[in-house]
Amino acid sequence: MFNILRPHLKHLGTLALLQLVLSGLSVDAQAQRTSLSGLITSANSGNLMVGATVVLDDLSGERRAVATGTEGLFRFSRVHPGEHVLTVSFIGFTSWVDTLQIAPATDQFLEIRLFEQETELEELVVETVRTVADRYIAGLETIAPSALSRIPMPDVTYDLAGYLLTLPGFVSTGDRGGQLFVRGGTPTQNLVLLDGIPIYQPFHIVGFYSAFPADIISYSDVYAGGFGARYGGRISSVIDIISRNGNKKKVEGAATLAPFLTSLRVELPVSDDDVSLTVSLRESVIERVAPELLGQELPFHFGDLFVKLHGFMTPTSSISFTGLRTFDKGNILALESGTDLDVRSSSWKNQAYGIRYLFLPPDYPAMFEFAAHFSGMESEFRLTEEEFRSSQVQSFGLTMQFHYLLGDTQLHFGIFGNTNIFDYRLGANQRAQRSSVTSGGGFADTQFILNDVLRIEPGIRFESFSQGTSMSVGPRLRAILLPWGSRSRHQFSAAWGRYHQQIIGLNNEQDVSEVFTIWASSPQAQAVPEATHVIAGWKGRLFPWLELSAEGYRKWMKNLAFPVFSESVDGSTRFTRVKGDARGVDVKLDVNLPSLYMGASYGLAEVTYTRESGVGRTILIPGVVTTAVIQEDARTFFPPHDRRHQLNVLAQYEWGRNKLGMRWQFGSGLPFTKVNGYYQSLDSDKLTAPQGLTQSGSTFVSRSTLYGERLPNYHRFDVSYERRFTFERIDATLQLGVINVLDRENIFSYNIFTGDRVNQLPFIPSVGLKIELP
Amino acid sequence: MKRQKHISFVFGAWCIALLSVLGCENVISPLTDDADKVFAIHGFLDMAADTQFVRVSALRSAVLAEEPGLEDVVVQSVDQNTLEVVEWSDSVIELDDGTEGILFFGLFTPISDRTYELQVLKDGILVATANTTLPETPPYFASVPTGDTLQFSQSVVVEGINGRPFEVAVQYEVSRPSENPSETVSIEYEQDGSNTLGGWQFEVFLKRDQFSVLRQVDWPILGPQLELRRVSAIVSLKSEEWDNASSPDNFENAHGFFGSIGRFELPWILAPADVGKIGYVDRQEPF
Repeated sequence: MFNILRPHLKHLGTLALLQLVLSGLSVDAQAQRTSLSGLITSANSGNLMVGATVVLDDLSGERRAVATGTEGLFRFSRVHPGEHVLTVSFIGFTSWVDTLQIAPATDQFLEIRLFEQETELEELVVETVRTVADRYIAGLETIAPSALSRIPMPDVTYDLAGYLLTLPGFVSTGDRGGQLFVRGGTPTQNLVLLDGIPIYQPFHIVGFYSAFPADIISYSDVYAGGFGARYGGRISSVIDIISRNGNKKKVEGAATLAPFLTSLRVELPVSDDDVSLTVSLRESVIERVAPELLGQELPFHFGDLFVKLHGFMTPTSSISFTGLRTFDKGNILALESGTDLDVRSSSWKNQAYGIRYLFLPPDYPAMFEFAAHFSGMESEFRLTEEEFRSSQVQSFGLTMQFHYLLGDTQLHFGIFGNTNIFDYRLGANQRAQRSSVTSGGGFADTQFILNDVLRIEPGIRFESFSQGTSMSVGPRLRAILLPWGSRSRHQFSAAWGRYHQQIIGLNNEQDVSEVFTIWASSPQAQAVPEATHVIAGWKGRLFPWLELSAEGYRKWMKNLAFPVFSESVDGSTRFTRVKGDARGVDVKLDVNLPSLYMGASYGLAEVTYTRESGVGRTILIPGVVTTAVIQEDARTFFPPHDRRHQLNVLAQYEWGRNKLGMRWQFGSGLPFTKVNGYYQSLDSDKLTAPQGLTQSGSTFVSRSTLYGERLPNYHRFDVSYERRFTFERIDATLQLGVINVLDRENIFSYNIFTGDRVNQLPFIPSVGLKIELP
Repeated sequence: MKRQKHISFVFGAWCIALLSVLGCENVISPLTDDADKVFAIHGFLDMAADTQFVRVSALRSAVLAEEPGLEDVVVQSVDQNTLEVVEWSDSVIELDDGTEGILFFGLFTPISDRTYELQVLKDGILVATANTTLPETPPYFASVPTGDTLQFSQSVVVEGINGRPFEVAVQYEVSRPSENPSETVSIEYEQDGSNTLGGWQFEVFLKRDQFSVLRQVDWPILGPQLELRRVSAIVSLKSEEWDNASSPDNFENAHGFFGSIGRFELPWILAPADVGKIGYVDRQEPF
């Protein structure tokens, strides 16, 4: 029977090392106690080989296959004693093949090193064992670092953010501000994890960049919805990034220089074969270069520092430390040259640290994982030099996970505890508000392989909080159908789940230029934001070079906080509760030829919010998060991130040492509210006598139908060309690119009070150089 | 390789077609076309006045723009019970900041419990409205007075209202001994009172008020007693629009504030013994 590691094993914390391929044959007692496991590394760099295919053939003709997990480990349990052929393969490396005699009732452990192939990558022919990436799971997109290099960037580095925006259903309100909306969800409803550590504001102020450069990423699992019970605390999406462990054999590094960004990455073995240290540092330079290069101000300053220390304590256990710091500061409106960064400026800083320990018991088909983290963010929105709002959030978390493989059933469960501390001020003269909430809970994810055709994965997550709400229970269910077994060219998958979010982010969505977000726990005695996801889709490989997928989804959301329009020009933001309904269809096409990649994705979506009754509950009023009652008409409207049509077209052509890439993005206009005009509103308390009619009043705005109009469509065409040079000891890559080739004036913000229009990035030529120590 | 070229060609052609078809429109018009049919209206109807005032202004197209004039604009009110129409006149007034505003005034006295619709017509077409219903006369009762000397008082309960009325006074109609013409003395009551089941009550300090009455009519404390003709509470009630001033729902194509104030006299009869205890001669007549 042919089988492989199921893709989602990866998501269960480097689970790939555990996968026992489920044979379905009767297993005798000896086989039950016989296992084969191993560690796959690169002979050239010492790097762990994540996703390498490991195939075990026995003489009876039975074939079992797994892929290595994030720790480069694999494991077969219930192996029949006797002679087997073990094959390990990975793209770009020479396959390792050996014949093994496996003794009864033993647990054999192998350390295997793969050598890089001399031949060009595109000439490789890899055995058509289906790999993890081929598996289709509803809502999930697994992103390999190589995919990130298909996106033209304004510099020679690549970044996760650029790629995410090519995915259907991922909407950004502009190329600045770092806000990402996933299938109707808002940025604060996305859970972004780096090695299991939550990052509160993971995107930089310039939309091309996140805190995650491609060079540090091993892979990313991006769930647009329907995520499993392992994840919780957010109701829209999960972006789970696993970082690389670094070279344990030799010093490796790279440095880049470009008008947007400079970067430096170093990987060095601390202890040969066992411990590696990776450091990545990036800092923007565009704010210094833009006035001369582009003739306009781009006052965005940002950067990040990533550090990872990884080591093997024994061949079956490892420990790692991950640290990340980011900073962003800029005036998102950037109206004119000489813009003062202390006026209407947004800034935020993340710092996140985590430690993770993995242990694979030699004699049991199980894995244990312990993780602890600290994550914090400080943000500030400075309206003037004196007036500002600030917010700070800190979280501490502990997680213990256990993974068991019990024949055709896999069980993954864990317990966790978190403490979150919030602190914010809504004005220079406002009192600081401090609060905290502690939670604890558990989850269980199971996997039942019913047969070669159908697999179902039920799960449940529960979490209890020290204040604010009763225990939340979130059931999850996923099904994967391969109509013609494991070699099926067509795959179907569906997912369903209920999600809760006790820690909420309050952001004035109505003002795209104000990214300031307050994190707080849900007010006492109020229902927390909640969502139900349903996803169903199909993925088919119509030809060996052509893959097509389509996925329909729906998210029902309730108890969401949405700002109330203030009629007053300088009114403060208040929020009421709304229900949300996001639905859509995402279609993706991939053409993979030896030197040509082309991809197109289209997303059709509709997001509606409904404010239910005439009385809304305020959950935030200046100075305090509390409950109050305000009058609001019941209404249904399209929120400002409702992008109805989204189209992305990507192409990359490689010849020799050259690479040409281009991307075209199209997005239909986002909703906005038209204005009737402005008037002086008089204080009604002074209107009890005719003399009150002479007061001059305050300026108010009269708005038309809520979000009844659409902004102009958005589109941008980017091109980049790269040429790689190889010298004796270094490799160099020269990049030439143009962002917004057509110099399209895409609107970012329109100030209805002043009439000022701010466009997104203009035509930006770039040249970049990357030097690598291979 | 041939297939690759073919795909590239198709792909390129597709992109060019898309680029040429999509996304050409790139202007934004933030103002609605009907902006000149929306108005700001501020004012109230007062039962105690025979002339009513509202301030009407057209919307400005920008925050700092000048307020447009109100050419071809007519303001009128309609009594929704009788459908009687009153056309209002306009006048220019100087505002507190030195600029000018346009005030409309209508010559009529609104009646309690009636609904009035203020209509703004532009070029003869009704474009904006605001309406208000005046409060109705509240039920009330006065309890038996209690206490001695300065604390001699009685509770008055105004039913059907939620909280203190906008203005409260106690009015005494008195006359000097052997004189027919009476004088009316009104004493403002600023006390908070207290909410009761279904209403609001306050305490009328009858004896203490008597000193105020004597002072106001300039009558000696130790002189002959004044005659009490009538005692009543004067209560001013705001219409419900005041409760919802921040998000009014009584406008069509208009913003601002439009409400009404009901002024009510709530009389009661004091027992002769109580009148004597206060220090008046009882000359009350049934009402």
